[in-house]
Amino acid sequence: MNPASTPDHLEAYARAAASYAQLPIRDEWWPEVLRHLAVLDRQAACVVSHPGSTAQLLSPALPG
Amino acid sequence: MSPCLDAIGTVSAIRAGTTTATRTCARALASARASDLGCFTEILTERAEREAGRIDAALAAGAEVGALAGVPFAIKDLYDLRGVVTRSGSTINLDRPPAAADADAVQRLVSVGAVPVGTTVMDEFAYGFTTENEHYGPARNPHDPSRVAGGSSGGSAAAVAAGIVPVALGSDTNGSIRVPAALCGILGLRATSRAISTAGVEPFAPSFDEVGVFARSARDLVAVTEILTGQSVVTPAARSARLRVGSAGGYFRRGADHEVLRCVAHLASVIGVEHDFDIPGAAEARAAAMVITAAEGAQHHLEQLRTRPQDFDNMTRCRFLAGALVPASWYLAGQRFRRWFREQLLAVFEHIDVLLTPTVPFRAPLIGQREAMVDGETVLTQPYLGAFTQPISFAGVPAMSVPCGTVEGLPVGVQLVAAPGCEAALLAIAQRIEDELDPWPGVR
Repeated sequence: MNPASTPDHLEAYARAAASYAQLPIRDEWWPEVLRHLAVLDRQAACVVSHPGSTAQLLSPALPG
Repeated sequence: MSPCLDAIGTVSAIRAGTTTATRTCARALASARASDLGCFTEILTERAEREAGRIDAALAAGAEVGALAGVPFAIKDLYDLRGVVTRSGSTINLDRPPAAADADAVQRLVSVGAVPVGTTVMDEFAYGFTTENEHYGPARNPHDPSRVAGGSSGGSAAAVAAGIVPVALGSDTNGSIRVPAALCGILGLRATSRAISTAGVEPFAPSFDEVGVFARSARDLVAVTEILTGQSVVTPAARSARLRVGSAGGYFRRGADHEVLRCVAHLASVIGVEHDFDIPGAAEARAAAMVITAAEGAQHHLEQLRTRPQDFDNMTRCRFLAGALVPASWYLAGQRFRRWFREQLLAVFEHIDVLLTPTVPFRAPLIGQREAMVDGETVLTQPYLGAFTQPISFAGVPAMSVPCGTVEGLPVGVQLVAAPGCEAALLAIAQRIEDELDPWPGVR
């Protein structure tokens, strides 16, 4: 499940995560960071959840 | 200055004695210096002159020289070059020491006599599709210098399209070879995942990162790809005539400029494409590629994002910062989807050898243009340039862009896609297209 389903949730998550990750995001950068994160949120939401093991994914059978 | 010959023509001329490696490389160096397209971050005059002189001396002594002896080439600024700082389009990397050795791909070309003449401008850390770099300037499109060359390997593509060098190295994570190749009207190949060594190349998103080549002739692409992969990629003529080509419908027909679609449809009729195929999940594949790229790219630069975010290009900083905040669940869902999507795409190649799509949804945008109209809808120019290339690299299959016409003087490219390890089929169809359309008369 995405941590944010509304812009408010997303911003709350982003500010907490940035603080924990020690990312010094300036006030003037936040609107653009949140815009990009909102795009990624939408992209993640449209990826259908497929079953499968992540370990399989990282096996030599799939390059990368 | 007239455009240079292609690499094969250059080698022939040098071997025939109608020119020398020294004269050929001097011409490339002079063109690079004189160009106002902003292709280069550094011109390697001393090294190029030294290596060209060595090739001429070997030829004069009757010694064996390599398959690309005396061919000048350009290198995207994220490959290591001995004695040169690998900037990756950033000023942050200027703090690094010069590289101790050439990247593997550079070594392979140098080992057969090719001569590196310069490093080329790119989007900072390869995160972009336009090569609008605020530190080193934009790479301009040779067909209209007010427009972008595409990215992130825009400097390499523009240098080849302008005829400064016959071939150049680029890298392609989500389309960074195919997009600029299409916008500049040249050929650009991304090989099967891990078919070409990426050692000595700064990573961007390792799940998708590949290196590859730009050229103005299919025969050059064959020659350089064989050197880089160490494998033959020639298709016998009899087999080439039997290759089955299909066209991608659905997602790959929506959201593209009508003139681009018309060019691709014309090409499809010229080369006898008979069947259309829908690729299930292509839009989701692009979405997942964007999430994975953001997360992996940010991870690679996490320490710099913590300690000196102000030194990033304004075009990339906030994208990297957003990527650093991507939750693991988004990333892993994308990776799981990748396996499923790859299976869907590979199933298509049970029916055909090569799949054809537009490379880019529209022609080269203006430098600084943030939005474009497609099908009556406003889209963001920068990310949308990768709409048709991202799903393909997501699956790890080989792909290339080939010029297929122009609209109002601006090139249109067609993307060719094949099953893993089938670069030969791609190059055979590229040769067929080149024979039909001859986009670079006189270059061969």
